[in-house]
Amino acid sequence: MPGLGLYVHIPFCTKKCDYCDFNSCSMDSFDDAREIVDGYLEALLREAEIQSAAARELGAKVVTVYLGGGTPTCLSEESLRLLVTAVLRVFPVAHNAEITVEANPGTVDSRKLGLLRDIGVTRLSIGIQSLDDSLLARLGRAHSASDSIRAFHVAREAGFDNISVDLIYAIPGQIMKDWKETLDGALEFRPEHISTYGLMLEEGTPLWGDVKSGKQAPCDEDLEIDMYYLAKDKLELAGYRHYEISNFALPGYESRHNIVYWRLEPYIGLGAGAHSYVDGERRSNLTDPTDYLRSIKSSGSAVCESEAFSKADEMSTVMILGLRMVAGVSEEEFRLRFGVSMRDAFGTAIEKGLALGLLEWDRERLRLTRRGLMLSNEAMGEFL
Amino acid sequence: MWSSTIRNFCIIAHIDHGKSTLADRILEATSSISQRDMTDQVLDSMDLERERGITIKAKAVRLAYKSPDGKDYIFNLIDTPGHVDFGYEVSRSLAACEGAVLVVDASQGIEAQTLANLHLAIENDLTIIPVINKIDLPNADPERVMRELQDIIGFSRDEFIFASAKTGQGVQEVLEAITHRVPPPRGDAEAPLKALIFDSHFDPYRGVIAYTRVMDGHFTTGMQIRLMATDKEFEVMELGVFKPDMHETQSLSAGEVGYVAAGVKNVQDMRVGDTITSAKSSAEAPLPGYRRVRPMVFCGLYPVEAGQYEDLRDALTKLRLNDASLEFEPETSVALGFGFRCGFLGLLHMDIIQERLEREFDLNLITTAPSVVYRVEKTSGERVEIDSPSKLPPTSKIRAIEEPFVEAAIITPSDYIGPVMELCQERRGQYKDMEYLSESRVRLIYNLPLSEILLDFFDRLKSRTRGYASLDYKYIGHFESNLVKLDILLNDQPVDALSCMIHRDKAEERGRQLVEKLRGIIPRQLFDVPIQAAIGSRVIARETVRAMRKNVLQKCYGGDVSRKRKLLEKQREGKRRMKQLGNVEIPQEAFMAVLKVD
Repeated sequence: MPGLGLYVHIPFCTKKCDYCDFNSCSMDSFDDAREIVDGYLEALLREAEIQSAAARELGAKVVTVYLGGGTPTCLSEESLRLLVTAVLRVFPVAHNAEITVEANPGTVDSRKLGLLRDIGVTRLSIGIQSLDDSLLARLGRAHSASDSIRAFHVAREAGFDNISVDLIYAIPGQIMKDWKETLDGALEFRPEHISTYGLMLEEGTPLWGDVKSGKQAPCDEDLEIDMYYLAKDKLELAGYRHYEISNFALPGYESRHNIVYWRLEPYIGLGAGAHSYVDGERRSNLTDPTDYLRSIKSSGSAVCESEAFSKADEMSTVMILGLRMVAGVSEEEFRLRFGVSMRDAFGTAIEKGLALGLLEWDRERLRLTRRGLMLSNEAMGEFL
Repeated sequence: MWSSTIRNFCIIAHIDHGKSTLADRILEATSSISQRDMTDQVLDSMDLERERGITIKAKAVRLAYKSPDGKDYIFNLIDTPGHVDFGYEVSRSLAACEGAVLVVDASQGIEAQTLANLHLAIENDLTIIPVINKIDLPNADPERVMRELQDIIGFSRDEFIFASAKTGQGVQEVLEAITHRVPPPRGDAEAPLKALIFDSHFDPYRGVIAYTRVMDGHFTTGMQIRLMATDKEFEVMELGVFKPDMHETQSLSAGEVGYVAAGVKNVQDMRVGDTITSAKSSAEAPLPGYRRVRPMVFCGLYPVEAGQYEDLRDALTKLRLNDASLEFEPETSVALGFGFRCGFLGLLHMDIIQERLEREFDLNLITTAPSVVYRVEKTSGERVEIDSPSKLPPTSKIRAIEEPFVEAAIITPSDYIGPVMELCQERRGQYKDMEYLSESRVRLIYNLPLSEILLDFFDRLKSRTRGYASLDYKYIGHFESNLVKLDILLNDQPVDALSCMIHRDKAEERGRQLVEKLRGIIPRQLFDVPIQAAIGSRVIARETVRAMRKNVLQKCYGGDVSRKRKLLEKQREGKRRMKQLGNVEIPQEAFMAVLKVD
C-alpha cells in the first residue's frame, strides 16, 4: 500500500483575485464571516474524523498533507492551530510526512509563520505570482512585490527550509523583460521549489471580462510559449530540475503531495469541492462552503459525485497524469501495477505520439519531448 | 358536371407580394375550409415552405363560390412554385389554367420572375387579372405600379383591382373578376381523353398521385390509361379532387382539375407535363410542351460518418419517390469516401433536399460545392458531359470545354444600373438589352454562365442594390469558354472534393482567395500544413497553416482528475467531427468554402 495524500481545502480569501475561478470566496462577501468560517472548520474536523477511520481501515499512512485554498493563511492563528493539530492528531501521519500550507503575502507575519512551523508544518507555498506591482494590480492581487519579498524572508526567519513560490506569466500586457525580471528576482531568494503557470483566462472572471471587452490585450500565444521555455532554460541553468509541466525544484525538493496525484496514488480530500481517490473510486464534495457544512452536519458526508474507475480508466489516467511529469511513466512500474505492458495497452497512442515528436522513450520511461510539454493535451488525448 | 361554371386559375406573384394571404382570403370567402382548420397559408403545407415563405411544390384546391349573380361556381386554384428552379413546373401549372391573378405589391412594382411568368401566362393565352396588393401600406404607390404594368403589358386602367389581402379590401372584386373575366374551360367531354399532369406526389398506399387537368374526354375509375411520353399503361384506381384534402369522385371530365391514382410505383412514370390518354381510344397527339427536366446543378453529398452511407441512400431513394427531378448516383471521393453525386434543378432545390435529408432523416452531411454540367470535346473528337470537376479528362486530351449559359433578366431601380452592370461584367456577362419599365425601374438582360450565378450571384445582386433587384433566368445553351480546373492541395496532396472549374482569367485571383480562406478555416495541426492552389502542375497560390505550438493544461487542480479527462474528451469529440485527410484534420465547412469567397 503506497502512502496516502491528504488535502484540506480552505475556500476563503481576504479578496478574490481577478483571474481566479477556483473554489474560493472573499470573506468580505459574508456579513457573518466569522460564523461561517467557524462552522466550516467545525465541519472540516467532523469530516476529518470520519475519513480518518477510513484511512485507518486501509492501513495506509498519510505521507503528505496539503492545506490549500483559497488562502489558508487568512485564517486566524487560533483557527490554524486548531485545524492543523486536529488533522495531524486524527490521521495516522507518517513521522517524515511533507506538510504544506499555502500562503499569500499580506496574510502572513512572523507570529503566524512561527506558529505554523511550531505545529509541524514543513513546507510553505507562497503565491508571489509576479514581482511587478503594475502586473500584480492587473491580476487584482491584494499585495505588492515588496510584500512578497518580505513574506519570503519572514518565512525563512521562522525556520522554513522548504519554500515554494508560484509565478504567473502570460499576463495581459506583460512583456518578456517583465517575466525575465520576475524570474531573476525569484531566483535571488533561492526558493527550494518554483511553480510557473501560464495565465488561463477563465470565463466569467473579471480579467477575462477585461480581455473580452478589449480593455486588455491577451498575451500573444507565441510570446507565452517563449516565456514558458525561457523559464525552463533559466531555472534549469540555475540548478532546478524541471520535474513537471509547470513545476521546478532543487533536487530532493519536488512536491511529494502533487506527485501523489500525478501517480494516481490514493488521496483523501477534505472540505468543500475537495476530491478524493481511494480504492479505485473517485469522489468529490459539494463545492459551495455553506452546502458543504450543512451536508456534513446532517449526514457526515458531503460527497456529491463518485465514479468507480475501471481498470481501463485507471490505466489511461495513470498515463495522462503520469506524462505530466517530465521523467514520464516507467514501463516497468506500469507493468507491475496493471500486469500488462504499456506498449500493449496503448500501442497506437504511443506510436502516434512518437511519430509526431510529442513523446519519446528515455530508456524504459515514456515521456513528453521538450516540444511535447506545451502540446501535452495532443499527446494525452490519445490515451483516453 | 357543367364546365361552364368552372374557373381554373392560378396566382402569379413575387415572394412576399402577398400570394399566400390572398389565397387564404379566397379560401375563407369560399368557405372551403372551416375556421378551425384554417392555419395561415394553407397551400404551403411543408414546414420548409412556411419557413422560407415560398411555395416549393405546386398544389391545387377546388373551391365552391356562390356569386352575387346567384349562380354557383367551381374554382380550381392551382398554386405555382415561386422560384426560378421550378420554372418548368410553373409553365405546366399555367398550361392547366384559363386565367391568372397577377399580384403586385403596391410599394414595390413587378419583379423579374413575376414578369417572366406573366409573359408565359400571356403566351399560354391566359386571361390576366392584375391586382395591386398591399395598398394599405404607408409607402404604397398603386398609381405608379399601375402605370408601370400598363406600360409593360398594355392593360387598360379599368382592368386593375386595388386590394389589400391583409384587410380583405378588394377580395370580393377579385372573386367576381375570376367569375366573369376568366373564360370557362373549353373541351369536349366525349372526345378521346387528354389530361395534363402538372404535379405529382407519392402516397405510400395509393402510389403516385398525379395532379391533372382534363383537357378533353373524361376519366372513370377502372379505365385503362396510357402515359403518352413514357408510353406506360395503368389502370385508374381512384379519382378525386382536392378540397384541399383528397376527396374521391367517380369521374373527372373535360375542364376539371383533380387527381388520378393508378397504382404507379415510380414518379418517373408519371412525369410533370406528360399527357394521360385512354389506352383503348388514344388521343392522336399529346398536349404540347412536354419536356424532360434535367438537373442543372450537381454536388456531392457525403455522410460525415461512413456508417450512414446506406441511410443516405435510403433517404435519397425516398425523396426521389416524390421528386422526379432529383437524380443521384454513387460517387467515391478520395477525400470524403463513399457518397452520392446528386443533380438538382437549381440551388434552392439543392438546399431544400439537403435540409430535408438532415432534418427528416437525421443525417449529418458534407456537401461539396455545386457544379454545372460541362460538355467536353476531346482531342479524339469524342464528346463527354461531366457534372463534377473530378471527372474532367486530362488537359492534354481536351480540345474544348462548353459550359451552360443562361439569359438573365434583372429588374432594378435605375439608380443601381451601374453596380448591376458591373456585377454582370465581373461575372463574365454579355450585355443583351436594357428596357425602362418606368422612369425609375429598368430591366437588364445579360447572358451569363450558369456557374457564375451559382457562386452567390443573387446575394451580391441584392447587396449592390440594397435588396431591390430581382432576378430571373433561363437556360439558353452550352457555349465554349476558356475553362481550367483549379485544384487545391493540402499538405501536398490534392483534395478532389475541393477542385473547381474556373475561367482561366479568374483562376489566379480565385486560387489566392481560396487558399487564404482555407487558411482561416483549417485549424493548426501539429505540423505546418501548406495549402496550395494549382492548375495542372503549376502552383498559383500558397499559404501555410503554421504548426500548433501550445495545447496544455497548465495546472491540475487539487486532484481533480475528471476535469482533465473531460477536457481531453471534449478535444477528442472536436477531432471526431473533422474529416481526416492523410494526417490533416479538416472541418466540414472547408468543403463549402469554395462556394463563398470575397
